[in-house]
Amino acid sequence: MARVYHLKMRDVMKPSIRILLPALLLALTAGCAQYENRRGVEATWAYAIADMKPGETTRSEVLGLLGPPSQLIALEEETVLYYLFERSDGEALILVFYNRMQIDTRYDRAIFFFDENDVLTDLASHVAVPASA
Amino acid sequence: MRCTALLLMCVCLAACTQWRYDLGEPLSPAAPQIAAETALPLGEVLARLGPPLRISALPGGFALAWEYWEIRENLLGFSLGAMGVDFLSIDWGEAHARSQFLLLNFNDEHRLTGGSYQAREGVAGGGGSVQPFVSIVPVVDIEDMVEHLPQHAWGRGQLEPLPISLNRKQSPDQGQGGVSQRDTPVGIGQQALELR
Repeated sequence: MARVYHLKMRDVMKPSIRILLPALLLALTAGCAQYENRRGVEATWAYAIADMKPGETTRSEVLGLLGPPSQLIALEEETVLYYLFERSDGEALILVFYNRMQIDTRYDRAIFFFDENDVLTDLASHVAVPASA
Repeated sequence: MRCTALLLMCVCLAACTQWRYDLGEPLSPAAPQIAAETALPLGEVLARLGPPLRISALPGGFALAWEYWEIRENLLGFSLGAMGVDFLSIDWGEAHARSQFLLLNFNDEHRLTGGSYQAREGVAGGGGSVQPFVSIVPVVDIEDMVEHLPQHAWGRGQLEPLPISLNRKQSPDQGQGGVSQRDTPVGIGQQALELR
């Protein structure tokens, strides 16, 4: 009777082991990662830019509100202030024999043009919506 | 038998990796049309496209550029190291890139004088290798396509090695010497003297 029982258990366990063993291997070797990478000037201009008016706002006012830019460019008699904030979101699935990494980079930016009198002539800004949103 | 085959495959597959890069956002559908227009005021262009990603002064005006990149890299590697045969590794890889690039020129009166738009899609590289002991030679290299925008390096420009520092004034990364696209080779052309 006991022998019959033993045989039945083995027959029941066999398919389970076949499934469980690779699953256990996967579970032991699997991993995931998530990271964020930030570069540049924090996008504080989203609210401040509403008060800036071409023909009125001066360069010193913009610098006072937003701080030093990422890049200052001389255009003969004009100047450009360029603010850039680069944000990368990464997700990784690591299964050893199969790995997948997804890196999504977005650029928040603002640009301001000033004439020879340091008065704002043109401006634009953009704050990117994360791809996951 | 199936289980053994599956385990063997897991052990032999040293690396099967997919990288996905999305750099920026797709350009406005109006981009090709704007590139064909002239005399548009700067304010209108900025309102339609948003701030550019690259900018440079030009004689009598300036250039603005917008770009979007989508890069896919697939790598597959086999190694028999776990079976005690660690003198051989086999690697295969490929990279595909899809990009949009819009370059607009403005005069010193902030009027559009001309532009160019290009959408590209194709193989960015790939290869295979059979190498002894360890994989030394990468079969795909996309480092130059995924690097940070040059604005972040503006402040530390003078701290680079001398050949690069001496070329700073004319470099297309500095906003005074033109604009270059993301995957432009530096071994030949304006940045060749930087000896990179």
